[in-house]
Amino acid sequence: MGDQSSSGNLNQKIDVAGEKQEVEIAELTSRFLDGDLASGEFDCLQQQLKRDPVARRYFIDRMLMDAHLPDLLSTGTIGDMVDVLNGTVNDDLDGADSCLLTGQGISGRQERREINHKRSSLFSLKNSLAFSLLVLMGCAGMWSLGWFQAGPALVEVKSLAVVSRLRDVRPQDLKQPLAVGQKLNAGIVALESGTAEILLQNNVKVLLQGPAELELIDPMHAYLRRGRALFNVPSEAIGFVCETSEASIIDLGTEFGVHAGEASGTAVQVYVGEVIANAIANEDSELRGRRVRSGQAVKIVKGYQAVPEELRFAPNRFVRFLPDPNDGDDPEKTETGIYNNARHQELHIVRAPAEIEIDGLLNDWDLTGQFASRCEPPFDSFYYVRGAAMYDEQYLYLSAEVGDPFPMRSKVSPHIQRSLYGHGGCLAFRISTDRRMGWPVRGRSINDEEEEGFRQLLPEDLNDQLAFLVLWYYEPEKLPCLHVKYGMDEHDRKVNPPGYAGAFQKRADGLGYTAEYAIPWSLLNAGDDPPQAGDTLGLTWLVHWSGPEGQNWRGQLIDIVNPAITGWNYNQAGTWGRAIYDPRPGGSATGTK
Amino acid sequence: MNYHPDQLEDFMRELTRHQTRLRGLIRCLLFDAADIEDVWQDTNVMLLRKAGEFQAGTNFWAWASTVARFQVLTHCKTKGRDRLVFQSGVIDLIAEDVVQLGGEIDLRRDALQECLQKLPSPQRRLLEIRYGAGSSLPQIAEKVNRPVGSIRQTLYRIREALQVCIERRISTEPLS
Repeated sequence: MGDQSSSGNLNQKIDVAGEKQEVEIAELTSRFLDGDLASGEFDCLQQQLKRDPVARRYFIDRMLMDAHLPDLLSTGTIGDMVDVLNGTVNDDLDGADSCLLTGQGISGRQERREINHKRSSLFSLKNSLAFSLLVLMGCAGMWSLGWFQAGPALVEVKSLAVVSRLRDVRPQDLKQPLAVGQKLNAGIVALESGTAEILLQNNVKVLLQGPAELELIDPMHAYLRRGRALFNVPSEAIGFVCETSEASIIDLGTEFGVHAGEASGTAVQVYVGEVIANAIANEDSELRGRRVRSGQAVKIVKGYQAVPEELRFAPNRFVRFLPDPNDGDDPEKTETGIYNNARHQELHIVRAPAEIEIDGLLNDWDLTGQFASRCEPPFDSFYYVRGAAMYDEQYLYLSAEVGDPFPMRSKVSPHIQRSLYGHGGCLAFRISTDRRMGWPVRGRSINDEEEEGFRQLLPEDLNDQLAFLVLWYYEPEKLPCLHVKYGMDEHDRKVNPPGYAGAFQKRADGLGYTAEYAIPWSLLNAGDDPPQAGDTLGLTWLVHWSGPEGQNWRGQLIDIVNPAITGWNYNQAGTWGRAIYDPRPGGSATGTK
Repeated sequence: MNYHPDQLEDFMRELTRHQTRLRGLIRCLLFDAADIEDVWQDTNVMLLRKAGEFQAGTNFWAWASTVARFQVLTHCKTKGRDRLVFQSGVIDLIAEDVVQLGGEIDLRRDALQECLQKLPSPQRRLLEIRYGAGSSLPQIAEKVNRPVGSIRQTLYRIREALQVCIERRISTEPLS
């Protein structure tokens, strides 16, 4: 059966102990896995496993995979499968799934994307262990060991809250000083412009949008006098109350926005979870309250007979951070993880000035080719990019000014070998340096988006001059990193190879960063024939964002695309936009649609 | 049972850490899904009963896998003349191979997790229905109006693709 590896062509015919009987180990193993094995076939399998160590290894590898799959997969329904297999898919389900972490995306259309809802194996494992523990340890003695932990500890701050970040707040608009890191006691926070994020001592997070006045009363109670505020309430703070002049909103574990102080009353909008919205002037206990769930909004007007009335849910009513993909019921969470509409089909790559210093400052850059792209509301305030590229005989230069509320925090180590490095936040590029091919780029991955299964790879799919780059900042070592892999089959991966230079600078307000890289053409297999002025090759630009912990992917932006070709950029190089190498410094303006 | 709290904590940590391997071992030895769950439970109960025998710093996997193997053998004896039960000699051979894999089992699981992310949506969904929802092949086949063989063949292709992906990753991972 070949070598000791269990991979390769395993559907082989095997002679059993000199007999002429032909048995296919793969078929038997497959039937074993599917619980569909006749007794005679079982005996045949057993004979194979007894006699042939290679067959045994083949069998074991597949059994182990079978044992691991339930913990790694979420629960699907046959209804989903019916839609897929019967061909009744709509546009949202059409096409292949995308891997969040390789920056795959779609040009020009929305596609269904499955967020990796990995069920922790510990959940199912703990059921087994917990049961066993209770069987054996029912005596009170085990409780005295402190085996069962107390609830989560509160954030230890001496004051009621702290200002965790500010954006676009003009000092002249402040009635009292407000600075990042400033501790707040009970009292009023007022700002006439910009956005302030306030973290309470019980981890309730408030995003206050100026002009607004918010009175902090205690960890579980705030009064919004006017303006807009978004509340993110963790489970340990369920029951948090936000009041306005018309309404009292009791949180049941959620993210919700409140807009108060208008003549039209108070608007309450729920993004995740549920609240109870009460019209406080109405004394009728049955009428004044209403449950508001994710994707819903209500309005409460002044007056004794006011009741919460349904309001149209408006996504951009409040500024928001990208939702956690693992928050199941957030209506703003896109199924694909893509939060922008691509607007650019080309990027002008201009000739680099003679002296370029890779320091994360772009004051020596020619930015005439720069493009801008932004996530769609309500995320546009915090999530955007201004990207630019330059070239000379030796290097490709890439720069990006990125809006990111949690910048440069990636905990994804370059020292651990993995297939993906971008889930802590990164820039990513798919690029062609093949001058003979030009544009559009030809190349497809092994995944067949039309049919179920895989396709045969062609030589153009293995082209070493098609590259996937991931640029990220490894925060624990303050290290600008680079991951490169080649071809549509992503072969020959390199992490932090010699020759490149990179630098990151965090924005002063902490809500973004600038990245600057010089990548030698030799690393892109174009050292002997780098792109020249007048060339039009292929490129697509991606930005990935993570949460504050720097390792949980939240979403992405994809731009510089070819809308004439549909598919995921990791599957179909034809979707990559045009990279136009301008002939002289001060080249054309930003590419337009 | 008298344990020092630290001793029990160490033991529980090891037990939790090895659940993936134990389940994998038991899966390799038993055909019926209900039997696998039963034996897995029984194994954990037995390991907890024997927690006092385990000495910290020794090879937990070698010890725990032996307990699991005996649980499988005991269970198979109770099945009597059930034809879909491996002979004890085959159980020993398979178990020995699995035990020798050791940490590679965990690496394969991690690689599988990465490989699942590369799986196209229709294929992943089929796996979710098969493994997440626990639907049998006949159930799936009936619902989607396709022959069982077609579903099996598709699952086979998906598993093989995943296996190739796992092997590729394992071959580049340092085994520690």
